[in-house]
Amino acid sequence: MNEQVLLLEDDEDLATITDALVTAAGFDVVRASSVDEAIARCESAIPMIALVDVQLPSRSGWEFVEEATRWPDMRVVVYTVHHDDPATIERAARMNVDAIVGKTSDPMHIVDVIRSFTKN
Amino acid sequence: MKRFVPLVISIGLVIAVAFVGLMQSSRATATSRQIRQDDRVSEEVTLGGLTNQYVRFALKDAYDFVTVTPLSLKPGDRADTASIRAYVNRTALLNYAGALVNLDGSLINAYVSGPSLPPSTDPGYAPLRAALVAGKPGVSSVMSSRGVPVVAMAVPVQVRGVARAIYIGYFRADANPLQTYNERLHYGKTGRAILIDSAGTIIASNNRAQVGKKFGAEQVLRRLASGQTGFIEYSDNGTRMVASYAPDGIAGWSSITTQTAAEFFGPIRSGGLHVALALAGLLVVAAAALFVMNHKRQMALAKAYEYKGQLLANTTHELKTPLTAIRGAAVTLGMRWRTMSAEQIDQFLGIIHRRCDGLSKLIDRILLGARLEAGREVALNPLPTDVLSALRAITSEFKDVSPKHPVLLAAPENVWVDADPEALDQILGLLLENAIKYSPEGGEIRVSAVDGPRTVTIGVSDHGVGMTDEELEHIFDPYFRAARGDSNRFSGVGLGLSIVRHLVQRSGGEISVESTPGVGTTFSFILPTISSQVSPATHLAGADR
Repeated sequence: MNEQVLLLEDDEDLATITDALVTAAGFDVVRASSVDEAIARCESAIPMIALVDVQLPSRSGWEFVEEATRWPDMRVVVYTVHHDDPATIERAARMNVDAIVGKTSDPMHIVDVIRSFTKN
Repeated sequence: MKRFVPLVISIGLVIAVAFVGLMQSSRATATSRQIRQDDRVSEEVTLGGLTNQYVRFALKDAYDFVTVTPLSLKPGDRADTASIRAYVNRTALLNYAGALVNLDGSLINAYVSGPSLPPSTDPGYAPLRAALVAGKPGVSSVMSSRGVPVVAMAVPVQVRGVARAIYIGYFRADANPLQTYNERLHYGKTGRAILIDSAGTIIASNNRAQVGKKFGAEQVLRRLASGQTGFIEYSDNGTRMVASYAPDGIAGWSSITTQTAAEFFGPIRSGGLHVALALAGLLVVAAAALFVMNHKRQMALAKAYEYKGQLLANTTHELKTPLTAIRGAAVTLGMRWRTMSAEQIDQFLGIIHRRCDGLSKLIDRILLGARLEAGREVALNPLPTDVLSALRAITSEFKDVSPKHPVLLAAPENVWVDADPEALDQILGLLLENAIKYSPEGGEIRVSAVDGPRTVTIGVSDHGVGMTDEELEHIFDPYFRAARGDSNRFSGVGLGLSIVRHLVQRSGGEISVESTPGVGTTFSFILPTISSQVSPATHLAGADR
């Protein structure tokens, strides 16, 4: 069975694209468009990595990051357009996020990050 | 550093104006001092004149007495003593004693109301004698008669044109009309109105204790001795004093007024100081106002810069998101198109197409916002528009765009407004977009229209996050979202509602908003209706003319 990647993304187009790229790299993608949905997914099966978009309409993705401490084996990657914002970097560091990936960077970069965690 | 330049200039200006003000004030003070001195001297001259008149009248009265009253000039004559007594009792000034003396000074007859007369050896008689020898009425210096200060005045007693004796009238220096008059003169707390004789002894003063004593200010006495009238500042045991002085023109008497310099000039100084202080106060207020204004401007500028930064970040983010999707879709297609199904390829091409449209709309909105910001109006082309049709069109479009938010519509039929259809579509679209953005999934959006007598109220309600009163105050301000700091949660550049308000107002309407945090928000706008009887064709024909 392929390793599972949770994709928390409310923008359906971006979720579709990331899903396609990550799936093509040989991972199983589980999609969630809200924090509550993502928590429910983790509770049923803990994914290897969670790709978290922090900019969500109701509960912020940061709330999921906080919640993710319940699953210490799960790697958390913040996936945002604010990846170069110092406040975001500082917050991510404080919350023990494993990586920050810019949404605007090369779409394949996210796949490389996921692969680096698999090798480790 | 540049931000301090206006402040430094303001302070410099204030100091310069204050300096000029103080200079003017100082000049005004000097002039006031001079005027005050001149006034005091003039007053002194008047006082001297009055004393002169008074003494002259007293001497004339004495002369009249000895001329008119039949005096025997025999020592021990009771009739003479009775006459003298009657005269002493009725006279105003020479009310202490009266005496008839021989030309050699030996006493003939006298009446004394007090303890005694000064002995004929008293040196105070010297000026009296000198005057008499010169053929003038004589006035003595102040003499002491058993501790009582007295002054004597002498007139010759003539019998058939020949001087046979001298009549001497006496008055108590400490109790006479001149003394009373001086006592009534008040010059502040330290002012003293003084009358001195030719020897510098005080004849009258508003400080009765001084009478009979020597006037101490030598500087003043020296000037009076040389016949000067004037004003002087001097030191009296370390106290700065002022004195105005004038010879009275009789018997070497002089009128003097002394006062401490602090009291005399006090009103002027404090007046000048008050002027300077008032001016300085005014300048301080002006400077403070300038500072506050400047500070406010600086704050507004700083806020504007902060705003600009946030706006740029926000806008960049809004532009980047669709680009990310477009790029991601393009990259995926490029890499995997061979292995993708036709359906998947369509899906990715659809993403590119849709996001390009969204990007284009966003850029249009930013440009529109910039135009409105610059004060340029948007050209509208109003047409009779059916409200229900317009609402139906937009709600069905949003049902497709956001199927997770049920959009409910309630509006009456046949309500027409004279509005630009595109503008109305944009207003409704932006309000719906806003309602969906701030509502949770499944949150119901209600679109309604209520027909009034001449207006229609169109409302868009949501059950979203709502707004605080403070947020409501600024919700129609352009780019307000940028300052709200919630760009991590909600996308958008913060121009939608300012555009909505502008378009509603340009359409002849007004927009309002009601909101409760955590409960939801309702935007309502009122547009004037037009008669549904008027067909669009007729209306247009009318408009063309």
